[in-house]
Amino acid sequence: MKQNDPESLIRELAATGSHEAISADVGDDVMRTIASITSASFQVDHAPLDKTPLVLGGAMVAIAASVMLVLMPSVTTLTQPWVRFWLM
Amino acid sequence: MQQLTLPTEQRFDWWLSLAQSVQVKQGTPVVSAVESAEILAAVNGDSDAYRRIINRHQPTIARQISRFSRESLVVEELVHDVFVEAFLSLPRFKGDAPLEHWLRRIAVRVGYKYWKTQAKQRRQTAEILQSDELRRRLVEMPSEPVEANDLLYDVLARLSDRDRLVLTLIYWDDCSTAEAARLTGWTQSLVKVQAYRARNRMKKLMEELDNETK
Repeated sequence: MKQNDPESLIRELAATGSHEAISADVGDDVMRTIASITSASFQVDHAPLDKTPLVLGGAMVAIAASVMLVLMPSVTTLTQPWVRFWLM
Repeated sequence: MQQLTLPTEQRFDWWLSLAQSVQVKQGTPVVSAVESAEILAAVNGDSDAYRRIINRHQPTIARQISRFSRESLVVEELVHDVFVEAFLSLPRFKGDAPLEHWLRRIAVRVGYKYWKTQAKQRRQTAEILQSDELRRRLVEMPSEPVEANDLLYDVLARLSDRDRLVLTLIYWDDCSTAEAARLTGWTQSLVKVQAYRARNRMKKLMEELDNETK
């Protein structure tokens, strides 16, 4: 046993083991997995997020804010005595 | 895209001519024109092209993965994972190294991740694999390739994952320091330091086995 020389022990075992025939045949399995992944990603592509409600909602908020800004009386106007009728 | 309307065999020829023209401009290629064309075709949905890549490289990848498990079913499963991961990363393949090196790097990553998930189970197995049994096998020194690889796997399994990985690559796979660094993603100096420490720890382990005999 080559306890004091691990390097040569590994090398000797590796040299003997190098003749081992190792094979794997995964072609079909890999292609099946890839096909399932690809089809799943296509399903996600076919249902994109509908942004219409967001756009419409955003536009309405923007219009309301603009109207309020235009109609908002100035600070000076607010101090006028008649403004209570206007606000009502 | 115009090429997608062509029949499969013509489409591959189109990719091949494209790869050849790119290589003429770039000079000495690292990846052959045929392999470049297969990669381009596979990325663009040609399953036959990717199947050819698998068939060409699966013996090398199976050999690499066999360092991480000695069970044939696990080896097949990990080789499968390597090729699926490679397919998903194929659009990011830069072509600055041969495809085989790139696939081996993925294989090392997949195998190392497998060791991590199996760490607890491996500790239990190491306890089951008594020193007497290991010593007996080391004294006999197997002459059959399968037995030699099994024994080497069991001896290295007694080390930590990092020690085991560096010794596996440098001595079992006969990689240079630069190759081991590329496969692990470590720096060359880290590989050297890790290999030095791993050798010392293995030497200690062997001495412990020897002392138990006396």
